[in-house]
Amino acid sequence: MRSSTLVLLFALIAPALFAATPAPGPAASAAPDPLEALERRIEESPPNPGLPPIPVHHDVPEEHTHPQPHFHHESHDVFFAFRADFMQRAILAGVLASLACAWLGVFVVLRRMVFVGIGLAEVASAGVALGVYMNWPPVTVALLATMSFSAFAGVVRLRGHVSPESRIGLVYVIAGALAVIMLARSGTGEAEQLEMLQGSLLTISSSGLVHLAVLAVGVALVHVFGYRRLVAVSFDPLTAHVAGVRVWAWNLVLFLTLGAGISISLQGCGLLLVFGYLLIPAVTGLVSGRRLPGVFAVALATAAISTVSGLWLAFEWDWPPGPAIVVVMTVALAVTTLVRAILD
Amino acid sequence: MLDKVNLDVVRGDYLGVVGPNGAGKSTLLLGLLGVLVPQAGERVPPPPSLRVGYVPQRGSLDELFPLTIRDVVMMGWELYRSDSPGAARVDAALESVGLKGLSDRRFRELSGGQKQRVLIGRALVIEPELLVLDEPTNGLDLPSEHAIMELTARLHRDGRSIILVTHQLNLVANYARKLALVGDKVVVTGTTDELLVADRLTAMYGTRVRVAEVDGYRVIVADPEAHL
Repeated sequence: MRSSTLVLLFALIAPALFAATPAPGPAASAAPDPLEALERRIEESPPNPGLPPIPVHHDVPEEHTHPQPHFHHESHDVFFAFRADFMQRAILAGVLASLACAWLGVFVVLRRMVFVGIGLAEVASAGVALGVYMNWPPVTVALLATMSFSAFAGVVRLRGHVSPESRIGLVYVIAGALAVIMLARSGTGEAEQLEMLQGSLLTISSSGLVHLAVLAVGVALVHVFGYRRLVAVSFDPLTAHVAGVRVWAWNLVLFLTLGAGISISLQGCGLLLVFGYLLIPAVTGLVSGRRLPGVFAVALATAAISTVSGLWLAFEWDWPPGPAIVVVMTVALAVTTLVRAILD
Repeated sequence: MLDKVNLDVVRGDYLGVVGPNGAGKSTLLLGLLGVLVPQAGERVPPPPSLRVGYVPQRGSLDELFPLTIRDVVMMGWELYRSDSPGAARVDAALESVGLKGLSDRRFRELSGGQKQRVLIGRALVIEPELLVLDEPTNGLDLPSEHAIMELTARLHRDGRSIILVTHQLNLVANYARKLALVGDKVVVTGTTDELLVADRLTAMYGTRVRVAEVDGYRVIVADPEAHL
């Protein structure tokens, strides 16, 4: 594994661990509390017969409030978490996003374009911010922004004095700065920034679920149909070109599906989790799989199982969901690496 | 940049494309294969019925990919066809490059010489009439280098046309029948006997070159005294 991939993994895991143990502070107490929004939504939702009541804490002391949902309960039923309607929606959304991103992530890691993934995620953030600022549909704006950037990055090969990584880095910095400025200018800036970072799996809307389902099915169809071509142009583009394969077109397909995957997953999962889905399952697959189909299978399984486990952990231990899923994926990667080291 | 290139490749040729580093050998090859389009003039493409097997430089492949030898060879078929080559065809291609029985080994775990054989096997799986090899002996030790060149000679004897690009003059000197000397934007073509002469090579490489014969083999060296 390349050292740059390890550094990126560390950069991904560190904020997840810090986010998992939030400390109350002026910034946190000043931010609008998503818990209150969630509680309001649960209280306003119609009763679901046959399910136990959702535990809602109204008596959290003000000095202990923080921007993470709070789900501690006294039940010893380990499946209690999965009976709540909002958890079922969160699991469905998370699994759909995780499967799409983990599949795309294998190509991202194999083609050594992890930084492109970060750049695309930041462009999607800027798109969401623009949507919030202009009062346009954020997902649509994010999708348009990432698709435009994907088309540019996938097709255009600019000659210049700087490396492609430097150009992607420029896009990352500019998109990040624009996102912060536009969110700061919007009425709900801090809350939006927090949601963009951590996502809102627990409060995902029906339209968000539909978007994710369309994304997962779309990525699956395109990549099943074009699997051999996508692998060939990624492994040996020159020979593919000589054989008459339209390398630029398949690169464009890959970049466009990547842009769609990131932008659609971003609002539900948040920047951290989307990037985690792109990177950690793919690395886990590469550590364990001998052949490409095995790598994809391990990556998909890691992403889906970690999503369910992470959400359960978030419910039981009162952790924010996105960072909890990242931590579970990291544990899966650590165990896989250890087992591989022992077997080798 | 190459200028006014006139190069004919005839069925049954073993053509060596040689020249100094940066002279444009790979550019010429990519032009022949249709990857690069000439800014002026015309490239007459090979007939569509001609099956061309291409063997790229090993360094152009991404070895991070978890592929077995069988996967790589199958890819050579799947680039041209939508069906599967079948195990027998893959095994035959691997047998022809001396790798039968190793099909489940991972590509990235092989030695440089073995990887080169796999890539030749990948090109052979479509049973090409013309085999184009780009620097197939780069980075190989002497026995591996010799083995690869003997393999190309055998494939030529079996009836395939060969175009081999290399910067190693001594290799093509004893295997190729025709040469394309690429240097300073121009390409000179002819037989090995016509082109591998000391004066021409000295002018092309910019250093004094000696051509000798040892036990019936042509040996080309830079004159050691020229560097003193």
